[in-house]
Amino acid sequence: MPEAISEYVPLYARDEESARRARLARRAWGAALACAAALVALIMAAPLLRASGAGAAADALYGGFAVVCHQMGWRAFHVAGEPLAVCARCFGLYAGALAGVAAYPLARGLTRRDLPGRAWLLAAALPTTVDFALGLLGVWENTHASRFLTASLLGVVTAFYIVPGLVDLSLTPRRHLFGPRLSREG
Amino acid sequence: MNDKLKPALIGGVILGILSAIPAVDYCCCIWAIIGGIIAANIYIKNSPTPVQPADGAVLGAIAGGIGAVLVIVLGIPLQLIVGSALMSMMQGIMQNANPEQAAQMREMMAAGVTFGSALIHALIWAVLVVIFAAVGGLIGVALFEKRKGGAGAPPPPPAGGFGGAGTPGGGFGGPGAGGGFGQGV
Repeated sequence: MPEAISEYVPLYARDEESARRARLARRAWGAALACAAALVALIMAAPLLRASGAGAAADALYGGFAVVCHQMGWRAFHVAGEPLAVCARCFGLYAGALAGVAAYPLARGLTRRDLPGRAWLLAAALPTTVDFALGLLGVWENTHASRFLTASLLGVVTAFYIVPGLVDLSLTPRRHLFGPRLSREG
Repeated sequence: MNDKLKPALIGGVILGILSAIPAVDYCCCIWAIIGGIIAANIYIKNSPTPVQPADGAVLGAIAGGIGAVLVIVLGIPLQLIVGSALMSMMQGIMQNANPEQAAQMREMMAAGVTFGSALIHALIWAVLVVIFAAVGGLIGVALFEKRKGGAGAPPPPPAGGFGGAGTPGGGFGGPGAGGGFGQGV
C-alpha cells in the first residue's frame, strides 16, 4: 500500500544540471572563503612583516588598508608590538565575515539563493551601532573587546547575505544580469 | 540604455563624491556600502518584477566602479589641495585632547601626500570599493525587496518537477520505468 504524501521523503536527484549547480555554488562559496581568509591574513601579516624588518612590504600593506580604515594605533589590536593593519572594529568585521563564510555550509544549503530576512541583519548591526554611538557621544568608553565582538557579530551575519548573493550570481545567466529586465520565473 | 545603469550611476556618484571629500572620507568603507544600497533601492523601486540578489551584487559592483573612477578623478586633486591643511587642523584638535594620540597622528602625516602614494592608494581603494559596494547592493536587496519571489523567497522548483526536465523515466519510477512525478516531457 502506498504511503501518505506526508511520509514522502525527497530523494536526492543528482542529474547533470543539479551537479553543475552544486559545483558552481561550491565555487562561489570557495571564492568568498578565499577572499575573506586572504583579507584577514593580510591584516595580520602587516605587523608581523614590520616586526621582522620587512618594512617595505609592511608599508605597502598598511598603505593598502589605509584607504578603508583610519588605522589609529590606539584603537587597534597589536601583534609583535605593532598594530594590525585595521582597527579593532574593522578587524571584527573581517574576522566575523571569515567565520560566517566558513560556517555557512553547516547552517544553510550551499545552493540556496534566497537571502535571510532583513531583521537578522538589522539586529546584528544594532550592537556595534550602539557601541559606536555611545562612544561617540561620550556616554561610555568602548574597548577593543567591545568593538571587536560587536563588529564580528555583524560580520558573521553579513556572510549569510554575501554567500547566497554570490551563489545567485554564479547561477544566473549573464543575459539576465546585463540584458533588459526580464522575469526569471518564466 | 541598460536599466541597471541609471541606479548604479546615482549610487556611484553619491559614493564617489562622499569618498572624495577629505575628512568625510574618514568613514572607512561605509560610503561604498551606502552607494551599493542606494543603487539597489532605486532599482527595486523601478523594477516591475522582484529583484534577485545577483542583480543587487551587479548593481553595487557597477556603482563601485563608477564611484572609484570619480574618486580617482576628483579625490586625488582634492587630497593634494586640501588634504595637508585638513590633516594639520585635525592634528591641532587631537593635540588638545591627547598628546600620545597627536604623536601618532604626526607620524601618520610624516610621509605626506604625494601624487604617487595618492594614486597607489586610490587604485587599491578602487578594488576594495567594488567589493564593498557589491556587498552594499546585496544588503540593499535584503533590506528593500519585499515582494514575493524576491530576496526573501526560496527559488522556484525546476520546471520539470521532481523527475527533472527531459529525463524520461526519471523520478520515482527509475530509469526506463516510465513512472515518476513530473517528468517534464
